[in-house]
Amino acid sequence: MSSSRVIKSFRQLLNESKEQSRRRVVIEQIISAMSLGVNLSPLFADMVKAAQTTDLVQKKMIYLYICKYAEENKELLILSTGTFQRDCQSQDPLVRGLSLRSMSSLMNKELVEYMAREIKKGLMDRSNYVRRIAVLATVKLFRVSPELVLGTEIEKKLYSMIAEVDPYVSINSVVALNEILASKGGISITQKIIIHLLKRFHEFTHWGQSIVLGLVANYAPQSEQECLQILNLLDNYLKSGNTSVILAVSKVFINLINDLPNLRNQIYDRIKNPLITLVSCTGNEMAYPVLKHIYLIATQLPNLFASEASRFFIKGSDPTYLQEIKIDILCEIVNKQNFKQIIFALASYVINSSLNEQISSYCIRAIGKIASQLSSYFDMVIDYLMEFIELDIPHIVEASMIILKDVIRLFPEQSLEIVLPELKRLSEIIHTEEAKVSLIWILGEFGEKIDEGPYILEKFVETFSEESSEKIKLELLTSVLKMFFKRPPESKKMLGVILHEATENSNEPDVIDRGLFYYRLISTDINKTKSIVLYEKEKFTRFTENDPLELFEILMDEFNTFSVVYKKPYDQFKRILHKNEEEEEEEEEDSSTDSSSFSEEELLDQIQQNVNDLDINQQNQNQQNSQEEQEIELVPKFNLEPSEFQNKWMNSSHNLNFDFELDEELDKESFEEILKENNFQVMASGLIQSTIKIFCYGKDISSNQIGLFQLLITGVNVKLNAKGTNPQFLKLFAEYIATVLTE
Amino acid sequence: MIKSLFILNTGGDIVLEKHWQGRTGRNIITQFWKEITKENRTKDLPPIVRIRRQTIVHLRKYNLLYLIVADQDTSPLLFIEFLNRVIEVFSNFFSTEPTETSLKENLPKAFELLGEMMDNVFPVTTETSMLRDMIGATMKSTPNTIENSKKFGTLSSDQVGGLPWRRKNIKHSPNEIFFDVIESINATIERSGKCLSSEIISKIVCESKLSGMPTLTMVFNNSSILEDVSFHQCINLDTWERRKILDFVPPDGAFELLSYRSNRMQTQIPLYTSGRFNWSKKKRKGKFEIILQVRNSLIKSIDNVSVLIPLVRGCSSPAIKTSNGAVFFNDQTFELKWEIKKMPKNNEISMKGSIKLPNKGEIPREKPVAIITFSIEGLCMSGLKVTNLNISKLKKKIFKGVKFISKSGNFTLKF
Repeated sequence: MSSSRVIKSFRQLLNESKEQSRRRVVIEQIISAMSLGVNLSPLFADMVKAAQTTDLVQKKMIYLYICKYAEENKELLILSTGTFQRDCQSQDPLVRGLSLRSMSSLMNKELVEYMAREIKKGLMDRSNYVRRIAVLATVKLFRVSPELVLGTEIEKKLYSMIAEVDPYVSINSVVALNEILASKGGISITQKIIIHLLKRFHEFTHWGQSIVLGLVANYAPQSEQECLQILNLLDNYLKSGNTSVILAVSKVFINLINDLPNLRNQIYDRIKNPLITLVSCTGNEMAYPVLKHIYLIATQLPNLFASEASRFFIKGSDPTYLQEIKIDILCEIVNKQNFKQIIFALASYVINSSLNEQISSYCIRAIGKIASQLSSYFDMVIDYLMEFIELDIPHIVEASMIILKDVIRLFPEQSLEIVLPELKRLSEIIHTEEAKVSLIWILGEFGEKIDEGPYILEKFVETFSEESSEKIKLELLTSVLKMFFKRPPESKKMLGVILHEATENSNEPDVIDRGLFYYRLISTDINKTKSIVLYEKEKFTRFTENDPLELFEILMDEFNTFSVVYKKPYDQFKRILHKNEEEEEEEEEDSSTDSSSFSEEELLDQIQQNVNDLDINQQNQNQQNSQEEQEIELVPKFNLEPSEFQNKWMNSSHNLNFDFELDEELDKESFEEILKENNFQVMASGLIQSTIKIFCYGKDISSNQIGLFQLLITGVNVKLNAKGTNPQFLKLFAEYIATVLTE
Repeated sequence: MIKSLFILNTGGDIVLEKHWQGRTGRNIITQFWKEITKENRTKDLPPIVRIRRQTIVHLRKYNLLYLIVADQDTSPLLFIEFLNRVIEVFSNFFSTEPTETSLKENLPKAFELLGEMMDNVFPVTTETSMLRDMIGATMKSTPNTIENSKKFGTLSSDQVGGLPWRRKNIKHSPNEIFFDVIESINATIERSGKCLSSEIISKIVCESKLSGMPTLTMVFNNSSILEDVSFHQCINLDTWERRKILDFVPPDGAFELLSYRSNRMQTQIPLYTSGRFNWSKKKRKGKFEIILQVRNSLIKSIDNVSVLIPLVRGCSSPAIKTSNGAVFFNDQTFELKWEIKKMPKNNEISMKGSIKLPNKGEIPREKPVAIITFSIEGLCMSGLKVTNLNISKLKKKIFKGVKFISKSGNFTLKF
């Protein structure tokens, strides 16, 4: 938007308003317009001039403005140094502090000398307030010119300032050193510093305490005596009113277990109750990360929370993210004593219609998982699953059949006794796809053990031609073949029927393929076929969805970080974009920041009105501030001929390589599905060893640009090679692909 | 750590954005907004999510959505605590809830506060009382306050040894301090009246208007009730550990002194509740009865009792008899509500009746629950009492008081 009229109006108002109160309102209006997204950069010189005011309120707003637009007004910035320097000499510590903070926030190379000089003075200032700010300003100086801080007197000064009486100055020095020395692993923690900080721990704010606790967690005490001292000193802070302090103390305690292995159980006992209290006494937002941490501890010490199972029962008012993590916890802490209580609770959630469908399926999976952990109770689990299936509610039947199948795989001998006699009835009541697939699998695998086994399968074969689900058809083919080798006389006919149907009357290529494959296999060597189809299966002991134990060990080291919330170690989710790409991206995003779409007239009117009305009973501002974003959206049914694709691929003027990581592994089909869902067209795809290769293209609706790309996917690593004619578009396009695939 | 803060209104427009390091593009916010407003979202979006390889922590309050963008691995709770603090400080400084309107009116002040609350990506000063020193002058401009604003900047807390939660030279007249001990009872009751589970979640909140640096001590009749407790920073933890008394210099103004959780009910649950509810297949009706009675042992009265039964969609024509109170049926939300202003002391009261199911559709598998609310003044169900409250270092006359309230938290009757 051309905001020249707004600028002009503001400029005029600034010049006209001599009275301080009036000026203040004008500047307030400028700040408000700025936050709405209007680009007020051209006012820079006027604002710098206005900064000479003695009114602190105006000054603060003007400095806010200067910091926002400094980048675009580099050449004018030098004008402001005079004001900054003058303010750094002010009698008022608030003005000195403000000036120092604003100046250092400019992060400007040109000003670096002024900055360094004022920061050094600020570190010696007589006011605590100014020194607090000066200490943090050193970090900003470091970001612009590391050589002015690292290994200089500033670094030394910061170490000495840790000992200052003012707790803020002391903590800020620790924070600053930690950042400045980040590449060397942070501030060097000596026993002296730790003792000093712990001695005055109570003086610090909660934020300061969190910082100190972070250091203590990384500190290796030199004797058992010292470990115990730290433990005793921090024990009280498990009663802190600040949740992040409680979690940080817990982390220190857990780390100390390495030095005090014989106190392991006592230490965990100490942190147990504070964590439970946090869950019940805080809001949902806080309960969420706390529960994630309880879950992590439960994976290490299942019995710790076993007697507290009822604390993790879900409430109808819980958001689903809390319900899920509570169910996860229940699965971990289940033992012989609380088994009945937990399984009863989970079963009641399954049938509770006020809970979300996905939660009831989640509970069914949890019940299956518990069966895998406590094998002696599997019969009770099967009873529940059978009951759920009887309910005839599609999503419940679906989930229960899948789990029933898994439980049978875990405990074939025992569970078949209960399930086999029910198979016929089940085959009559279930309707949904996955449930049928599971049932057909059970029949193929174990159906020969009951008399009517082949006949139940035969019923399915009869309706094969009407079956619309490819999954069911494939499973049925396999199961019938298995049955043929176990009960040949009864199955011979149905095998013939199904092979014929599959190869002659099917539309699905995969079904035809599998039919032909089996057919050829049988006609080549029937005995070999038997050994292939009825191979000896390895005993199945764990669900694949159970996480590897090593993961939790790594996560324990990353206690009280986001890793625990995401259930992923830190190095798996850190940013892997190349540095320069990141910068480009930010620049580009910046340019979109100042576009806004409300009317200029409206704004002008409003400014006028507000300035004239000193009471400022501002009317409701109803401007829409929707952003025009550069977003890619693809044409739904855009098609390129292979030859066109090839031609474009060979002759594209621009080429971009981009590597990223997926959150989880996917197979080729899933990729294609995701791509198609987002209107990408797949030209070709294939599998080379374990690497998936996909050629794809798409056309953007708004820009009409066409982008081509190749994906090479190995595990979670994706190599993207995109081609097109416009580099700007290509970057957006590549980003969009990455977003689509990682979401 | 914390890179940026965004505050969005209910339409997803950015009302305020503050960057402490670099500048986070608005694209990530657009993407987040798409995520949270997804039409086919069947699950609630967790408060902590990853978008474009960055972490976003969000919190909703008074129809505003607060978002923190972070990209380093630090304590997740720190961010949520910080957001809560921002909201609290805004309320204190705007003298009203921070809604979209009040935030827009106070934008410059909001920026000023955020500038002081965090410097260089880490929270610094977040206590209202301390911020008052730095922010001082009100933004509502009258020529008068401009004069005043010049006088600010004395930075009383600037003197050495100040407490992080209280500035020096506070003056009040009259001097007064009041405490409210508020206990919320969570309980699940079976239809027979048997209590399946119960706990008490409680807090002590305080409004302090005291001059200078007063030291308070508070003694309880039975400190073991406060086993699972979290304290405000002002409480001296050593004294508590050694002598089980609270020893503290309070912050100025309103604050939460402590919160605690207890499983022990000193007596039984104060309000006896039982009832039954059955869906009749034949008549397509739900028949129910609820009985309430005050426990004999209770000396105080139970007030503002209400029983809320959320029913299935389409229910209609309630036919209800009650011995006391009034019954309302909301045919929009399909909720039945029975309200009793004051519970009679000795006899039980009841509500009996039926409700029609819609003519079509299944008979519900589940029975509804009854959500019960009530309050009891002058009593703590845990049995907690303050036996002594002492204020030293203050010569003047002080008004002080402690009030006890018990009320229902999540209190449900399962039919």
